[in-house]
Amino acid sequence: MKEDPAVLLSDVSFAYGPEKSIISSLNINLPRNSATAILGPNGTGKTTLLHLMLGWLKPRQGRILLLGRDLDAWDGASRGRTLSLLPQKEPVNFEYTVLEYILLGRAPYLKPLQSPGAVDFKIATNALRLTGLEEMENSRLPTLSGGETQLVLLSRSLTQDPDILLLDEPTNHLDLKNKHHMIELMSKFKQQGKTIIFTTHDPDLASSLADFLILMGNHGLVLHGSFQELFTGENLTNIYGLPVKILEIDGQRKVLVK
Amino acid sequence: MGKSHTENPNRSSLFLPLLFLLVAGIILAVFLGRYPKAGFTSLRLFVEDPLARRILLTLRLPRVLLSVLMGISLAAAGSVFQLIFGNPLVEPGFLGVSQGSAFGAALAIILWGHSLLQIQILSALCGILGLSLAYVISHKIRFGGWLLRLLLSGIAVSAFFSSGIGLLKYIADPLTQLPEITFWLLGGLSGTEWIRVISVLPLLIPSLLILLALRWKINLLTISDQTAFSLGLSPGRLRALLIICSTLAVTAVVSVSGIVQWIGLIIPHFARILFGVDSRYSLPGSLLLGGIMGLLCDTLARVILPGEIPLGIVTSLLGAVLFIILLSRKGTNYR
Repeated sequence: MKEDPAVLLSDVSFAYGPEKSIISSLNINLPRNSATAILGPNGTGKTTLLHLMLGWLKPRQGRILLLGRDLDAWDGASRGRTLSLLPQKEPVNFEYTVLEYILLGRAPYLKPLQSPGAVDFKIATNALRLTGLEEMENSRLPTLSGGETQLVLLSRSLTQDPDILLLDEPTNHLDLKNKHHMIELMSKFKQQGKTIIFTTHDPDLASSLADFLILMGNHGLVLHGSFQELFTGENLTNIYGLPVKILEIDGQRKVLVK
Repeated sequence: MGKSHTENPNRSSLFLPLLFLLVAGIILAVFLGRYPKAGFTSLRLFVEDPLARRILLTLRLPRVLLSVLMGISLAAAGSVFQLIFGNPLVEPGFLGVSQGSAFGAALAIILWGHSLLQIQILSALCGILGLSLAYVISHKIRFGGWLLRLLLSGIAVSAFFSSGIGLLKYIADPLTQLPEITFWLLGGLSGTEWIRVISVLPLLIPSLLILLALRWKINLLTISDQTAFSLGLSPGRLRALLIICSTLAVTAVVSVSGIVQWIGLIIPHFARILFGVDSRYSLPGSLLLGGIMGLLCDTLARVILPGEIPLGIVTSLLGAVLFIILLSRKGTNYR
């Protein structure tokens, strides 16, 4: 029996208003245990596509299947145990400690009136160890740097222990070292047999992780396929409207604007 | 950190002393007053003098308990509102509830004069009406996110009711009705009887129990809605439930106490300082501190002068002092 894909979009259209069509008749099949990069200029609907896959936005037309089941048929808690979103940014209005904050990731595993217990604390501290923040569990969120905050958000998603991780521009605002760390963690996550789908402005990030590519251009233009095939100078030139050349350095493809 | 993370000893260990303080405060406040002279009523008098007993048990005790309940519910609602609106300067009355309740009370005074039951019912109804209006109007506003929309419609509804209050004061009989309205607007618990304490419980107890039961979940509304959704939650539904419960708890007490400001704004801050932000601890902490603050303010209002000082004056004075202390405290960091 063939395994159901992690995420399947069939004939999906979405618009914010009557005029503003973002996505039309999109068909995408993302297999399990794969990494997919969503690449494209600002305002082409990358985050919108991610929010559609999350189920937060509902398609105007078409269906989205998560592990073979219609997103609408999932109850919140089981969806939360399967799929996690690492948002681009997150409001931090209060001085939560890092540990308190990432424990929120345990919500889909708790009964309606339950609070996190010893098992949840263990999972949360494990996630902190993975991201290298174990020394910071009692630090207050507003005192952290942008890079540390991003790693806290990732720790929360890991605490959620999902099969599929959606990341919205995960390496934005990260310095070189933190960016490298983030890429490492993402690839480690994939090695555990899980699926990652991420938007990015950074072709290097896409190139170091992705098996599949979704290129989103203006006027609803979407290209989807294997990374090897799609990540070409010609396609990127079309999508960004800018002459682009691809160089191969040490087996990695790098983008050069001509 | 120790082996077990589940209980933070620094936080939960404060609950018991505060509870003790509250209970001790209640007992002291019941014995404090102006019978037979200013100061504490002695235990001997309480045992021997039937009038002393009656004053303590049928006048002071219900009032003291109501002041505690008032502080508890204002602080609880303030805590919940500040967290879910992501704004440390929000207080429970801001969604049109306070002005709505005040309008209802003023209307009842004009229609029926000094009738506590009617004032209470109409005030509670108008408080709930205020919230409902703010909610309905927020859906009509085509501007900003839900938070801004709710805030703006709350401001509009409050202004609408304030203008109504102004009109009622204008047409009120200056000798009988106007002083009554003014006194109600300043807040106060004088004349509390057991029946009024009991009358707030049907709204208050279920609301507070729901808030307490959901206390950890409240944390999930401090993050963005998309993320809360990704954690399996229906953020809109949970938020609506929390707002309704908080508002009902506040309406229940405001309908008997009048407008009492500052407790709902200031106590949640102290609760977060003492117990941390996590509402699993800060919400129960806020309840305890609110109860103590309500008791303290009402006792001061009752005993400082031979006559009664309106409660709102005491809470504003104490609140302002605490507010300044809070803001000038080292390490305060509001973004």
